[in-house]
Amino acid sequence: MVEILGKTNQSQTVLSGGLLAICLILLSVIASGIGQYPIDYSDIIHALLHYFGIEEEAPDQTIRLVLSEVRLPRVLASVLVGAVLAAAGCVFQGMFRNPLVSPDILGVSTGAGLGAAAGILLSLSIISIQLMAFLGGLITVGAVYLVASSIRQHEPTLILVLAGIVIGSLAGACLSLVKILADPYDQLPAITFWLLGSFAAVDKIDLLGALPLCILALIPMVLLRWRINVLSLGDEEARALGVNPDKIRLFLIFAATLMTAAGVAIAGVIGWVGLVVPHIARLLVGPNFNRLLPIAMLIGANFLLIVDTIARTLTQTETPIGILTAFVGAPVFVWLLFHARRSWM
Amino acid sequence: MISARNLQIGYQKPLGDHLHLELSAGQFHMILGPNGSGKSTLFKTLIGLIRPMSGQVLVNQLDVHRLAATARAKTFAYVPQSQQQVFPYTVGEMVLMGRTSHIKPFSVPSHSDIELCDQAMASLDILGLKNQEFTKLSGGQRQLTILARALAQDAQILVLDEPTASLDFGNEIRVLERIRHLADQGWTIILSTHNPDHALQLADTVTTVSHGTVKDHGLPHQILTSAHLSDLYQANVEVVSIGQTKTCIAAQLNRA
Repeated sequence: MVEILGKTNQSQTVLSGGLLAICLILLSVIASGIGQYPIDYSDIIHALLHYFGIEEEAPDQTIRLVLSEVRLPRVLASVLVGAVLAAAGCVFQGMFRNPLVSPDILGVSTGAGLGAAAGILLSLSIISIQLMAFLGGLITVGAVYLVASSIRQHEPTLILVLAGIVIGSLAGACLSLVKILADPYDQLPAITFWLLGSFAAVDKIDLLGALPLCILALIPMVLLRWRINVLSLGDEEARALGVNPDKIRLFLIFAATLMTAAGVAIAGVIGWVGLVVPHIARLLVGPNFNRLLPIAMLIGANFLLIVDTIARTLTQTETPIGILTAFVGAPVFVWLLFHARRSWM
Repeated sequence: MISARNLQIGYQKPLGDHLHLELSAGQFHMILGPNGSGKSTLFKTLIGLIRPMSGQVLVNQLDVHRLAATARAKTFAYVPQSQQQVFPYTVGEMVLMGRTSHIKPFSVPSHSDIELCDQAMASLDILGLKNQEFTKLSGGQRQLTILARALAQDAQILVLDEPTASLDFGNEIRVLERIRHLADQGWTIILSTHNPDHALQLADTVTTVSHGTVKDHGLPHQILTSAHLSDLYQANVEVVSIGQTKTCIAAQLNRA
């Protein structure tokens, strides 16, 4: 990365990034040990070393199974989803020039919720429900974009947000309809649980399905990292500085929606991460997208890993993660508001 | 250098008649006009941010409205009216954004970009602000930052939309002096203003705009007469000489 500013900012980014990465690795190992079947950390490290072929001696069969089939997919999924929700939040907040925007602003979560609920109503398989959720999110945002781009002569970002509200509430109404039609003893709890988000059902296949989509969506964000800064100055200034805002916005909406939909499809609706994490990252390294994106992704990954570990160990039954992120996110957000510098962090 | 031919400006319907305008290189051009006269629309049409209803704008024989975004940014460096920024970019980052049209789409600023920006900031004496947050600056410092960004953009023409609109008297003078200094260094500058004094004292040419078209164009002291200004602003305006400078005052301000 090229040095954008004085040494302080550059080294602060490297330092924060390094600490967060170390933190993430340690937490992943710790989280993999915690649960119904506790595993000693030395066993985890042993198993990992064996997996990468560094150590010859094979670990205990049960430990190997618990790790590879249950714990690691879940740990990695929460890391992945936390990172992409934070990334999508950064992109949307920058693009809409509004720090109160979350990845749901264009209705991706509501659309995904509707897709999943419809899938549950039709008693589809889990894979099909996930696919329905993914497509539901994509289609909803596509509809919002089409409506918004057919209306001209207005501030494009404002129209996008308004179209997002309109189509989002329409999808919300459809979701309510599906809930009424659903079997109250069997399907309705499943829909409700899905809408609150959970990593309980995540397995290796889910992870392998979502990962390539998220990486694909991350590419335009990384490539356009400088242009995103310029876009956050507003359309007119971006145009005057040589950036075509309409084109770049289309790319970014698609990328952010793709990764959010992929995340939501495997874990359900998880609020607050995409709203709060970009703020914390901006507080650490400033608004320059070059530095903001990696730091926000690392914070998001750490955050959701911790919350998910709490969600599965707090009580005998799983606590839906969407509830916990709200309980953690809301106070953190209020704290941020109190400590915000004069402008938006 | 810039020539507008048969140009009709407006958003959905034309604001006024066809207009012709020729602005030559290396001069300081000012555009004057009352509120709602179409001054800003003309301004943005000239630099290609708004499409004309009819006619065309040529810069060095090229149609401004057919230029790609980066080519346009290499032609015009635009300083918009000061507006609130949401995110606290540093002054250095704000100025660096001026280099965007010289940076490949998938790339970030290079060391030479940073050096050019440092020079631009140094030339306006704001290099010391480099690591400060733009959102925390005073109005005058912000305007100088955006001016430095426009210099770093390395375009052929500097375009400023009411650069002193929200500045106090001292900052207004300082910013205008800077801009006049740039004009003396050979920059081609187009500036819109609400204050006829700016044009009387600093401009090489002045263009007055009313009802969506050009009312008059020429040398400031020839055009900006008491009669013309009174007609332009529909108010009783008098141009008086104080020593060497001419200034414009409101004649017989009515007190109720």
